[in-house]
Amino acid sequence: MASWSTQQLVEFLAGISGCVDERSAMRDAVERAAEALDADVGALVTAAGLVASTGFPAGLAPEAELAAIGRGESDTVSVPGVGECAAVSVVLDGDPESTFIIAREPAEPFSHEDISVFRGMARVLSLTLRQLRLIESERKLRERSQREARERRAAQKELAHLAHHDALTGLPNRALLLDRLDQALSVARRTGTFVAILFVDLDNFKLINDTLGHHVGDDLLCEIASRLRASVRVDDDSGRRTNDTVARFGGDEFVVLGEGLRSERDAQEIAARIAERLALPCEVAGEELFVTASTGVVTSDGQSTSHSLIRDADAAMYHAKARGRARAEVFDDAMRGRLLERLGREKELRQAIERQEFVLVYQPIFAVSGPSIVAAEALIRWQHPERGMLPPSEFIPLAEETNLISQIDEWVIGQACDQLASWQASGTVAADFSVSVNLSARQVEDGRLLQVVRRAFDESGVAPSSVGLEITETVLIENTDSPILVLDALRSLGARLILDDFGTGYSSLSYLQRFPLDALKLDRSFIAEVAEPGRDRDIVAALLHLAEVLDLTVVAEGVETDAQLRRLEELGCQFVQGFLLGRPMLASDLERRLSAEASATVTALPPASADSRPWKPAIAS
Amino acid sequence: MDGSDSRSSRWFSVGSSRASDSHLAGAEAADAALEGRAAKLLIVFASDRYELPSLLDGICEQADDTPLIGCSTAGEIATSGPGDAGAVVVALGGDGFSVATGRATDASADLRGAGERAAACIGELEERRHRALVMLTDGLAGNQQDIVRGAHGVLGAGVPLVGGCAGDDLKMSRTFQFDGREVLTDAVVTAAIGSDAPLGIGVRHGWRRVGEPVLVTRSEGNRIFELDEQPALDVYLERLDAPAAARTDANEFTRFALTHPLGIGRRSGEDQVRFIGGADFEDRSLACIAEVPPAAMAWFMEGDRDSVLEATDAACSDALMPLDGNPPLGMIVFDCIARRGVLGEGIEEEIRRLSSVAGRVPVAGFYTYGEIARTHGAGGFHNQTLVALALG
Repeated sequence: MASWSTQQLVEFLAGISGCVDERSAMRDAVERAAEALDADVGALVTAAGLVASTGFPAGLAPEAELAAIGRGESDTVSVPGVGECAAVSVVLDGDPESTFIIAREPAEPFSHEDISVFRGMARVLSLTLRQLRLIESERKLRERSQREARERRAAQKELAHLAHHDALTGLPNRALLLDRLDQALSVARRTGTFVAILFVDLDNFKLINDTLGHHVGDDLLCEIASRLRASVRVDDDSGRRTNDTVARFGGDEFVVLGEGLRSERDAQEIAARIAERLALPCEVAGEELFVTASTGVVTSDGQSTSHSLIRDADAAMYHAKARGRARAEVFDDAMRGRLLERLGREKELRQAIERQEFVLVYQPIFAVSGPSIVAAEALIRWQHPERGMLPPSEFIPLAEETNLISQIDEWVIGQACDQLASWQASGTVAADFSVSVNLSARQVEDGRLLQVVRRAFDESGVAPSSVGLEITETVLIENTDSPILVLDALRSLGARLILDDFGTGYSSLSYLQRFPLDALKLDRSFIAEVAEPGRDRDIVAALLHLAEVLDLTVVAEGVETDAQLRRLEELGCQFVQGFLLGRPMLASDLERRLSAEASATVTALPPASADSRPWKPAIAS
Repeated sequence: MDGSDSRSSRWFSVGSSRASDSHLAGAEAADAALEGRAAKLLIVFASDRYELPSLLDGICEQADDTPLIGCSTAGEIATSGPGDAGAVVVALGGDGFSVATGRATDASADLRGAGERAAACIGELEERRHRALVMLTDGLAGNQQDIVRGAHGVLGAGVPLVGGCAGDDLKMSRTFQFDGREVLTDAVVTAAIGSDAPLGIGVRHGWRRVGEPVLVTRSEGNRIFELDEQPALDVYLERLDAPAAARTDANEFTRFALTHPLGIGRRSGEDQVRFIGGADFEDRSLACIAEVPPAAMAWFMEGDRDSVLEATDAACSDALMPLDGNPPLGMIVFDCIARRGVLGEGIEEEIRRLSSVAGRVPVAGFYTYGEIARTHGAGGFHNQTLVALALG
């Protein structure tokens, strides 16, 4: 081979081996081959079609003609401005579907040497392309694994963020707040500064959420979140207050953590700024809403822990609520005293549960016709070791605040069922005698209620139909959807549902139709005046009539005089409860009363008249 | 092949001026070229000693804003002979010609793309039987072969490409390209010419190999780092026995290198010549105006008056060949500044020969920093070469 041809081949190799991708290598190869061999045309045809060409005006390369040359069906191609050119093609051995083509005007045909060099170039090109494909696939593989690693890192970061932030507002959540508070406290101890906790609870959020819907409520929370953030983002120049944390602590509760404070006044300033910002109306979903907040403020001292600060701020917040809302209260010694007292009572209550200091008392329910005892309402009392027998009002509110209520409720249901089962087994009570227990709104909301009731039935072996569950209207109002499901489920266990204190709350008659009730108890406030002619008597008469239409049993509560009892009987009320006939009493007292009544009935009283309704209403099939 | 009718509808003339005032020089040269006629195209070659915007204003005021391209030079060529520090205007007109001009700026950012953009004007050219693209570039912008490849990709093999790289009287710092009244740098300007008569192109250099070849063992783009695995500058100076001054002084080196290019073997037998524009005395590398591929086998080259003039004759006869014996209307030449270095005073003889090849025809051109000729058997970008375009 003459020196020029070796030379060209070496240069060709050097030229295209500098290319970084297949596309530029193909283009370069076509151009360099045509230049080196004084060809008018260079082209590369692959399975994908014409991938590179030179010698044709832009966009006018005759793809079909070149493809025909590639397939060996033709050996000429017409070139605009030059004419019909003689073509030489070589299949790239790295890719049998690819053909490398050069063409020149026929006056100057390619020599054997030209073709030999061209074949060498084709060989060099196929090796280069193979190598570039390998590099490319390695690069893609590397990029993919890098991308996956990047995505994994991002996902981990996202997860970490989610674990520490509230999804709705993007604010730090309780866990992150407590973490930051711990850090802030150790910094404060080192630097001799204070940490402040501001516990912010919206005053009227629940009403807004209930009346305007959750979406509005959510938007409002986001707006409040951004206002709170804005109220701590100040004093950039002095470098203070910019590190403060605003966290979402629970539903409509926010906590602001102020760091590096020099005095309690700094904390009050933050509270003032928050109040100022919250005072502006919120434009949410086209509604102009006014929101106020009750804020509890506490600053750290040497003994503070994150737990004690949050607890004290919470207590101060409750104090602000108690003092009329829309205000901030700083946790002080008086509150500390009350808090300590409360903590003491909470401790006592816990011990009471452990030591089983609760007892049930039973208030009998009478059939007016007897009057004879047909049922009893179980009521809880706390047999306090120092203070004696305490009524529910003394400890239930605290139990509800501290979440001890669920344990107490569970004990009440279990205990009442056990007692009834034992009475049924011993024949102390008639087969249709029933005992009712009170369910709190909290219990109905608690998903565990159904399980608790079922277990009490199972473990006691009591007939479910002889157990009444008393609920108040509040339960029905709180949420209109889930109670129906829970109540339906309770009823399907066989228990009877009784609406307690009817007439005191919203007294919406629609509840009576919408909820699966068996009985209702008329509140004592109606009964007090029922003996006198007037509005209350008319209402009682109307309610009794309505209950009859709806097939509901009615019990009149708080019957304290003979006159009341007589009037109720005249109005057709069949069942009563009250001090006149029987106060709440211990189980053993009730047993005695029942056995006395039984012997008296046998000797003195005629049997219940045929038209009197049995206490236990038929369960709707 | 051309009847007298079609010849009478095409004209070509050259005007020049050496006036010291920029505006006046432009006006004089244009007036001489136009002689009151309306031209289709003006091509301007001018020294960068002029205030170029003023020079172009002087020209355009005479020519009613006829399409114009041009560039700064390292010496201008007119029918009357070679000159320095002057201005030359080529005018061509008549119905037998059609013209479209194009340009691309910021060439160094994308040389290939600049070639493509500048050549795109071919699409606007009124159809004529023969076509060519004249291209004037900034030789200091980077590898000129990439510009040529870009333009060729648009034109195809059917449209020859001729032209040269602008000069700056050997200051080698900044060159200018003209588009209408605009003075550009780092640009490519083009004129697509369609003609009823053939357009012939000749390319020759007249250099001879000296001694044994060397191997380019390390190069990147335009820069050669190693020859025969030794620092390129040392090998070059030693093998050519360069004078002491050229070994330390950059200007002296350039003067010496002008007459001692590198040649790279080519299929046609005519070595491709690479002008060595400068040396880096620190890293001992050589800077060329076009790509020197790694692994290339290269020869040091030299020329003398006779060999250079022989090449002139050969380029002319190559250019006239397509005209089938008819005399051309005129010639445009792109002549490497290095050849002028070899010829010295004999350069007058070169122009005389060009002008008299077929009777006495107008000649215009300039001394370039690199030449462009892409035709059958001519790869594209050249150095130390004469490119002649004969307009039939």
